[in-house]
Amino acid sequence: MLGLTGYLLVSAILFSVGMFGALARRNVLGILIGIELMFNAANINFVAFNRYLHPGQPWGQGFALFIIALAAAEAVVGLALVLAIHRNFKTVLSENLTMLKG
Amino acid sequence: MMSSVFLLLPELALTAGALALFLGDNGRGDQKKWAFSIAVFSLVVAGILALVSPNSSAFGVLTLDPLARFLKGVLSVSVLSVMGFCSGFSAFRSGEGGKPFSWGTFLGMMLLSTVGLFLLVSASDFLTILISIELVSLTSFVLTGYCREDKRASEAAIKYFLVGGFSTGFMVFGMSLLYGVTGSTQLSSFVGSTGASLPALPLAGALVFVLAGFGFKLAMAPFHLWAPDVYEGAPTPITAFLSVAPKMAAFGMLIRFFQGAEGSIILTVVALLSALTMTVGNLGALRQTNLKRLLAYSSIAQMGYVMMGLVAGGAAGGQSVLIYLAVYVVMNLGAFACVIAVTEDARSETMESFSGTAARSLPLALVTAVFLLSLTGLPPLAGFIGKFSLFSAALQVPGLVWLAVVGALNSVVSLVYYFSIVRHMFFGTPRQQSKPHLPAPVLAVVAAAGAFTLIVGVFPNLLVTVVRSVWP
Repeated sequence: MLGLTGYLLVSAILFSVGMFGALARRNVLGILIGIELMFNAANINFVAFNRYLHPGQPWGQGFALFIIALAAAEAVVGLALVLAIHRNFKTVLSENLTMLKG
Repeated sequence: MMSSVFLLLPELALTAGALALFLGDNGRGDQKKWAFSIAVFSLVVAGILALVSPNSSAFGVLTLDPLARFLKGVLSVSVLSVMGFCSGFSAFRSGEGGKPFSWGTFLGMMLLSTVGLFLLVSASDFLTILISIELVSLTSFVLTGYCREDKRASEAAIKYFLVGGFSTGFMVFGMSLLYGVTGSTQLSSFVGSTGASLPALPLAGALVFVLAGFGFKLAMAPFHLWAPDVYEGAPTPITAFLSVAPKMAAFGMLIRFFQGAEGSIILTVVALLSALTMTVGNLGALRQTNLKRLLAYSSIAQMGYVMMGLVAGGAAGGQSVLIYLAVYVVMNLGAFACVIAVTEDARSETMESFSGTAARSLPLALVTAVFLLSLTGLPPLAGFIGKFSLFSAALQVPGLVWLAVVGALNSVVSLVYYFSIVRHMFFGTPRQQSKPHLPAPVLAVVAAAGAFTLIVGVFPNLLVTVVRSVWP
C-alpha cells in the first residue's frame, strides 16, 4: 500500500531533519539527538530495502540491528562527554566551547 | 566456523588484555607497572599472532591476506610507540584533581582501539567496516577526553565526538543506499563493478554519502575542520596516536574499497579532494604557531598526498600508498616524539619551545630536522622514497599529471613551515641551557624512527620489496 517509495521518502525526511538538527542546534544534546535521527533514517532504509528489493536474506535487518547497538554505544560515550563538558564549562551550548581555535 | 574463530586470535588476545585491564583497575593509580605489562604483552602477542596468521577469510566479512598482515604489523609497532609516549607523559604521571591517573582503563581503551584498527584493515564487508571504524572512533573520543579536569581536552573530545557521530550518520546512510543498489553488504559485490551493470545515479549518490563519511574520519578537506582543534586539545601522545594509527588503517581499508575502480567517475572526485586536501593542509599549516595544530595541518596535507596513490590505482598505486603510509607512520611518530620531548621540557606548545634546541642538545635537533625534512620529502630520507613512489604512480596514469604537479608544488609550500621549526632550533636563542630530558621510551622511538628514516632513505629496496610482496 505504501510501498518502497514511501519508506524511502520518510527516511530521506528523517535524515534531513536529523542533519538540520545536528547543524543548527546550539545545545550539544540537541546535536546528539539529530545524529541519532540520522542513524534511524539509515535503519529504515536498510529494513525497507531488505523487505522490498532483497527479500529472503538477513543482511539488511541484521545491519539495522548492529546500527541500533552502535547508536546506543555512541550515546553512552556522548553523554559521558557532555557530563565532562558540563562540569568544566558549566554549559552545554556549543558556541561557548571556544578554547581551541587558530 | 570454529576455524574462523581461530582467525580472530589477534583481536581476541587484545580484547582479553583490555578486559583484564578494565576488570583489574582499582582506581588507586599504583598499577602503572601492572597495566603496562599486560598492555604491552597482549599487544606483542597480538602482533605476532597477526603476522603468522594464514591467508584466509573469516565469516566472509574479514579477509586475512598479506596486506592485512603488513598493516597489522605496522599498527602494532605504532601503538606500542604511543604507549611508550604515554608512560612518561607528565599530565598522565601526575594525575588530576588529587586523584591518580588510572592506567588500567586508559591502556584498555587503547587496546580496544587497536582491536578496531586490526579489524578495519582486514574488513571486507560494510558491516565490519562500520563496526571497526566505530570501535576506533568511540575509544578515540574517550582517550581524547580521558583527562576529565582538562578543559581543553574535554572540549576537543566533545567536538571530535559530534563530528564523528555526524560523519557516521552520513556513512551509514550511504551504506544503506549501497545495500539497496547492490543487494549485499559485501565489499566484493561493489568492488570492480563500479559503473557496470548497476544503476549509475543511485550508486553515485550512495558513494557520495559513504565518501563524505570516510572524508570526515580521515580529515580530508573540506571535512577537515575538526582535526586542528582535536589535535590541539588532546594530550600529545593521543594526538600522535590519532595522526598515525587510524589513518593507516583507514587507508588500508580504502585500498580494498577502490580496488578495481580504475576509470570510475568517483576517482575523479577523489582526485579533486586529494588536490584540495593537500593544498588546504599546507596553506593552513603556514600560519600556525602551536606545534600540535601545525602537525594537525601537516597530517591533513600528508593524507592528501596519499590519496594521490589511491586515485592512481592498480598495483603501483596501492604499493605507493603502502610505502608512503609505512614511511609516514615512522617519521610522524618520530616527529611527535621530538615534539613531546621539547614541549614537555618547555611546558609550552608554541613553536618557540624549539628555540635554540641545537645549542642545548645537538643530536635532538639533528634528528628532529631529519624527521621534518623527511616529512617535506627531501632526499636522501625515507619521505623522499614515499613521495617518489606516489608521484611516479600518479604520473603513470594519463590524465593525472596535473595532480602530481599540484603535489610537487605543495611539497615546496610545506618546506616553509617544516623549515621554520628547523630555523627555530638552529638559530633561535635558547631559554634555558640544560639538556631537554627524554624519557627512555621516547628516546627509543626517536632512535628507531631516525634509523628507519635514514636507512630506508638510502636503501629504499628494503621497504619496497616487502610492499611488493604484500600487494602484488
